[in-house]
Amino acid sequence: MSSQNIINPSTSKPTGLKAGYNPSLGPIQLPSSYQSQIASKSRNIYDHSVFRRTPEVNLSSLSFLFSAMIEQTQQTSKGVQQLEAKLNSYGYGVGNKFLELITLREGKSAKRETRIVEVLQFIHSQVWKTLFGRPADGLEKSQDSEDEYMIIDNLPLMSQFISVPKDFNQLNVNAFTAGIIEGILDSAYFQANVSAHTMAADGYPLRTVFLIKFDHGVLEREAIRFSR
Amino acid sequence: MKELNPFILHSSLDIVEDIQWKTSQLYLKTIDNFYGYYISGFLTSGNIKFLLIHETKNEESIRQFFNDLNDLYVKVLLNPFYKVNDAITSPVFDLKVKGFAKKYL
Repeated sequence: MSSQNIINPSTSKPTGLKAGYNPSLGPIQLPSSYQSQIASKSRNIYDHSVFRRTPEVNLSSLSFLFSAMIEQTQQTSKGVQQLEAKLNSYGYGVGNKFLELITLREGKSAKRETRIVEVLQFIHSQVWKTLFGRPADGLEKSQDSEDEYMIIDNLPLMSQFISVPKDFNQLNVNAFTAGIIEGILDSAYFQANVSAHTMAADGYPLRTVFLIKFDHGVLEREAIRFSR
Repeated sequence: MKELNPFILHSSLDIVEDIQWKTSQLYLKTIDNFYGYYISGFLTSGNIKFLLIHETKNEESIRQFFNDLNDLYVKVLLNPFYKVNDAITSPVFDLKVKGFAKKYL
């Protein structure tokens, strides 16, 4: 019985601490009566299933939410650059979490991506399919520099209903999607900077290029691990 | 022995970092051992590491344990008030993990 208690810290009795796991103190034991009390509490996030057959939302409500988001961000930021940076940071958090969710939903075939090209193909097909219902229109490698890749979307879903005024001509609201890509790459340990640029083509005035610039270390690691 | 466990687990983190680029599997199986104790590892796609120290080898049930744990972890992660790398302090999470341990291990 004493071996049971040995892991418990020798600090004075923790007061006001919540039950659960405290990283500096270890697991905090509860009287069993309290445990059943927690378990019988009404539904919590752990009881919901994350496996939904058709995880789709209404396009109009999504557009409305997104435009409200842009409006709010615009009011609180000075200039186009800051606005894009903020949208990017919103997307970043989504990307971090979305990567975990999408791999969990893959079930048995789930795997981690370990190479640059594979992780980009994963984003180009799986991620795009889950987010926008179709794969992206192109995945290209920059000819000028080793560390730059491009994902191309001819008709980006997020900016379909957004018309950017003339004096905001540098703005591309797909900075949000760029942030999602950045979040995914970063949490998969492919540190990169992602930015969105409008490059209109025939028939596709909204065509957007997501420019992905990997950190130097990522390329170095790839060269060491896979050159043999 | 029990007070050494955190040290044993932390020392195996180096091995995890070595393996993580060699395989694309999530479940890393037994990666280390220490005087009769085995250490199994699991990496989520966001490179969050789960480590388990155990005395008996039973790969299949440990795999199931980790898979269920991953499911639970994603649920924590989807909470907008939780940021990646924060400590998970939820007592319900704690209870659920203990439940999985009873079920599989």
